[in-house]
Amino acid sequence: MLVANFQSVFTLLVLFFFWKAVFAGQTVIKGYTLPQMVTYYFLVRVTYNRVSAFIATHTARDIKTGDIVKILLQPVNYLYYITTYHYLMGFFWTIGNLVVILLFSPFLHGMLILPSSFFSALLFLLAFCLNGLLSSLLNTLVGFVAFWITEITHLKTILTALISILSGGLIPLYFYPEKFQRVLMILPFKYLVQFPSDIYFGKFTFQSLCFDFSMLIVWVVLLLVLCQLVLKKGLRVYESFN
Amino acid sequence: MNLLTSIKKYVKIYKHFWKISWKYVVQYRVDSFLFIVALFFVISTYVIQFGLVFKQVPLIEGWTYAEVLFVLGIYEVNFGIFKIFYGRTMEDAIEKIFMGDYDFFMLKPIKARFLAYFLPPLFKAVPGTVGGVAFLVFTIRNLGIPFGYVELLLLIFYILVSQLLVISFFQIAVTLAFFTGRSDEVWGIVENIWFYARYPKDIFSGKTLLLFTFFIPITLFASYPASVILGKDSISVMGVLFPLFVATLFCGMSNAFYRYGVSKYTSASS
Repeated sequence: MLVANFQSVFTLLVLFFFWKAVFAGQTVIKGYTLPQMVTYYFLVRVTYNRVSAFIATHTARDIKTGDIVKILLQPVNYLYYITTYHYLMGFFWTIGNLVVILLFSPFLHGMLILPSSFFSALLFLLAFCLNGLLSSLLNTLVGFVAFWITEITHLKTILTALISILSGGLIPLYFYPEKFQRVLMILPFKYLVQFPSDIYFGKFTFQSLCFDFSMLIVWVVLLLVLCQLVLKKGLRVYESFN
Repeated sequence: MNLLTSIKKYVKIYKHFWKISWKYVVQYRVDSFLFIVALFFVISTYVIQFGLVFKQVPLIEGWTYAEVLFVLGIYEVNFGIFKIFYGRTMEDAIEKIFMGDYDFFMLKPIKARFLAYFLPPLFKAVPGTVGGVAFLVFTIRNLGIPFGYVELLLLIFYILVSQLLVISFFQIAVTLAFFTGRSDEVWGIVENIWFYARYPKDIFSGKTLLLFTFFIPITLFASYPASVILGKDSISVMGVLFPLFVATLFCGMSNAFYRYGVSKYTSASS
């Protein structure tokens, strides 16, 4: 896992040089300074990327190999098991990522900045914990597709790319045209990357904070219900190998 | 005569590989279709990212949006060819080394690497290459750059050089499996690193440019060829041939490392 975290350093390094070239002659673009932009991609690595890569694959593999049956026979709910497992694994992933990135941070020329205030840092941690749940549930939902089509590798790639575009994982959502931004702000994907990073940089008001946190909780609950329904439906059509 | 017989033998085997691969595409149609859609989405992310950035700035280190798309086009063609012919199978070779199946390849009367790297080609990756060609055509028309026989020959030359470069670089990840058992994570890292060959080389400077030219030669894969073909830099004959020198050097080092790896390979079944 630590080896894989090296990717984060490389990604940040290349993106730093890319954005440095973009910012040439400009100090602010769409409300971001260069250090904020580099830190933004750092936050992408530690917030969204922490669970997305594994959970759908794990769920699909359990379904494909029949391992899901072993868990279903235990007195635990598969959905809670898989989301909790990856949610907690995500914390270790984040710690690993943080350690590696901080070790290599001198190469980023002091571009990583701290949260705008202590209050922002606390709120960011709260958003970080909640968006992990959202991300876990979203990806579990993708994994559940394996009940109907056994091989989901490419479907996962499609959804990962789509989520990356819609969440701000690719580029901050403020870079999109305004009409498109309005649509993106309604969808749950912004809570994966854009929302936590906005908190980190102190780009919020009391009202927006209350609204967004409420919406985040609503989305988590909705996805939880949806996942339960899909799991129930999936198990009805499921034929295990063992 | 011996060489001709040998070539005939390899071509005959390779024909079988193609047949097997085509049967796979026909057998798993949904999977193949999803792969094509996935490729489209992955390429789209870069087009969107660059597009949105270029809405804010007209140039990035002297590169326009169309020129960056040209780099992306070359990248997709190069990486598509890599994926079609040996990318996937090289990755599978890691698993074969780990499981001990590589021994069977070594016992066959043809080169083990031919069997390991050139097993059934990945037909599904063809649309990625076609997409890359479409990008190239679009940007050539959009840029209005003169694209005659010389540029076409240069492009073909660079595609061949890029293949030598990428196969040599990825072979290092495969060879690591001889020592570590599994090197999937290293493969993942190498693949991730290679994704950034889509970025224009001029964003790097000084030591970083040296790093990404000689040690992790991602700038030579798409951006350098694009720069020469687009006539962005006035480059001498040596400059044009420069990626070939680096690729040959990498090929030599990678092959030496592979031979060393094989000599240390204890096999999983021994």
